[in-house]
Amino acid sequence: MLRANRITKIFNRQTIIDDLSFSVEPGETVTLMAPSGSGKTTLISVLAGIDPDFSGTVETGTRQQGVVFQDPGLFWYKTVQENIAYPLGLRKIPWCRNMEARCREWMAVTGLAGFEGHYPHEISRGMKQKCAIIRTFLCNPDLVFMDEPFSSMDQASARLIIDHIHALHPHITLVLASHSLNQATGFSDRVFQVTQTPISVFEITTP
Amino acid sequence: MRPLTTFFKPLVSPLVSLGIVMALWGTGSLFFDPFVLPSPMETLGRADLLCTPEFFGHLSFTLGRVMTGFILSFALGTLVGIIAHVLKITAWVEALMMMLQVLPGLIVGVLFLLMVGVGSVAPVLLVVTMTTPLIAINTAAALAKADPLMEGVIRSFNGTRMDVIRDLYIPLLVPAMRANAGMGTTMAMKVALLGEFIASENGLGFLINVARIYFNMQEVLFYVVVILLFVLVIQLVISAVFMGFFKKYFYPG
Repeated sequence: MLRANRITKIFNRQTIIDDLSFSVEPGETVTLMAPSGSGKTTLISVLAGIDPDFSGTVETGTRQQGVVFQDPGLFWYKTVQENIAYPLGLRKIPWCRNMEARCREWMAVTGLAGFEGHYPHEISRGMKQKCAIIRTFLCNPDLVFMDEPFSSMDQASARLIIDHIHALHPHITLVLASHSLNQATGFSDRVFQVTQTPISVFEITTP
Repeated sequence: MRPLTTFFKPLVSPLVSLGIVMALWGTGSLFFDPFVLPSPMETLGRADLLCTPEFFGHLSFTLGRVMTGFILSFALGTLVGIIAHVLKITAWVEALMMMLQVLPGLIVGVLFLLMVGVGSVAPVLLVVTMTTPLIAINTAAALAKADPLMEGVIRSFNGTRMDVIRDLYIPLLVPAMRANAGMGTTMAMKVALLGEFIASENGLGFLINVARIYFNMQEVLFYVVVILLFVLVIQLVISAVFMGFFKKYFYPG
């Protein structure tokens, strides 16, 4: 569940989000669709609690949440495997056999199998993005924010990943940000379209 | 074979550079009187200077001052760079450090000589004054490269401030520390020699000053070659340590 209530975000004296309210039901996949530069990333940062400098409230009521950033944000000095396992260490989640099996399954689905020992500068941007996705989902979150997660992937890879997410986490709540109509309509239960800036209201459609 | 390659690879460029310097020097010596610019071979013929017990005494004084000055300026410069970044006053600190950096070492050396007299303190103080700004500026510049996104990534996994420091800032500091160690020791050596030249009765700088007074350019240049070789060895040790233990931090971000 996600409930945003009267969110306003001002950055450098410019209003990016203006009195925005909306809610997402548990287990729902929604896409925030907006053109580039309209404030999607800012909204995701606010909703995910990374940017605390805003007015209004965000209720999530979740056990564990995760974020997939637009830029993969991998540690340059860690291998693919170490990057994937990174949040487990921070959250004190042990690397058990079950975890290893899930990781192996993710690696196979995303085509990263065999690249475990590679460093980020040795793999493509799409692979880095896949690595960032696995890193987030391995912690078993129940709410995930994904900012343009498939921008450097083809539609088939994106579909595969979304299907795998839903197969592994049937009750997960996903909030995707995208500027692509294809992805928005193909992956979501509802599309929240931004029609004006600053973001103050969504035009909600059901694909 | 791999460890051997790893060890010898960093040797190639310094040795080639040394060869180029020697070749330029040798060419230059063809156009001047040997009393003004002796050839590399004539200069290296003064290797007998190495055999005197006094030489090692002077060398140990110089190395002691270089290391003391370098360690103090490394610690101080790193600390100043970190504080500047944390307090978001990098621009101010950089301006101040830049001012210190352009102070003529000769003048500062004379000032320290007048303040603390002849001995080890003046050269060490000179090293600290002249090297710290370089290290502070470099440290602050490295920390400024921290990507806010990476901080966001760590925080999104419930990472604390300590996690951000450990996983983002310290890895960013490693390449800067390697550069600081390389530049810092070279600078420390040059400045320590200047300090000894002005305000000391021992050390290689002092020996160079004495040889200069007698216009013995062979001896002056011989000590310069010795210093050059020492700096080269120090650089290789630094390179081996960093590339041996911290190589992964040097990968492109």
